[in-house]
Amino acid sequence: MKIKRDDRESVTILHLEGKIMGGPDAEAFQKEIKALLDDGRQKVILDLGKVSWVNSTGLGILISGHSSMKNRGGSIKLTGVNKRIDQIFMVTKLHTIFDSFETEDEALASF
Amino acid sequence: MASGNGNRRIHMSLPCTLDLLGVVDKVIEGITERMEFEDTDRDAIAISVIEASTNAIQHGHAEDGTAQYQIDFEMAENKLIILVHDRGTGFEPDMSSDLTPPDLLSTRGRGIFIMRSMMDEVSFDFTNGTLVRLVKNRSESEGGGEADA
Repeated sequence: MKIKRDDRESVTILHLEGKIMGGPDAEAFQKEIKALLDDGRQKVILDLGKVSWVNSTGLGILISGHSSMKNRGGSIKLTGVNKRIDQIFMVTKLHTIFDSFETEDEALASF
Repeated sequence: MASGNGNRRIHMSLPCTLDLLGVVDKVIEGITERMEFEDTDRDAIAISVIEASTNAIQHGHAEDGTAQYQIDFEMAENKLIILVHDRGTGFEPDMSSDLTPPDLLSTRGRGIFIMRSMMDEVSFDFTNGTLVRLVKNRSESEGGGEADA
């Protein structure tokens, strides 16, 4: 998984690319979340538009990021969720903890 | 790969590394397209086989890339049967969580729940490592298929 950070005023967009499936992905993502919190940035959008799929280990990575951010008063929102990822979010009920938006602009406007 | 007697079978042996799950995904895409599964079912099969494979890699063999696990696909007339087999020691699923989702904020323990939610049959055999058997039936709307093509 590749991660590209894009700061937009008070909101940071993390553009993710590839597959979220564990292994080195967990450390890379947690490192990025920690860096954001250290910088005082608590409004985060995960752009999953270039993520083809997520497995249960990958879901754990996203939940861990959500919890870290929430514990510091922040939040993570999603955009670019494809049908396959949406299906796994619906089955696991994780759509109830991650707000998801069709477009980046909608996600930005939601903060 | 081999075929015969009406069913088509594909056998794969893979190193226990997560980075090759994309290869598994591509094979599933080809099989489910050929069998004319609907898009939602194709995704469900791919998600489930990747979950079983992730368990084999992480829990069966602790991501030891020198070890191998096996996947067998049997393309029957009205269903797809998938066997995911590792000969490791580590996979002890929590059956208590197989029908209900784990705590929403838990970072683990969703694999079996996901498989059971998405496939028509899911069973386990721990006689020699872990053998996961997954079955997806084709609905009537999913056409005649290509099992014998």
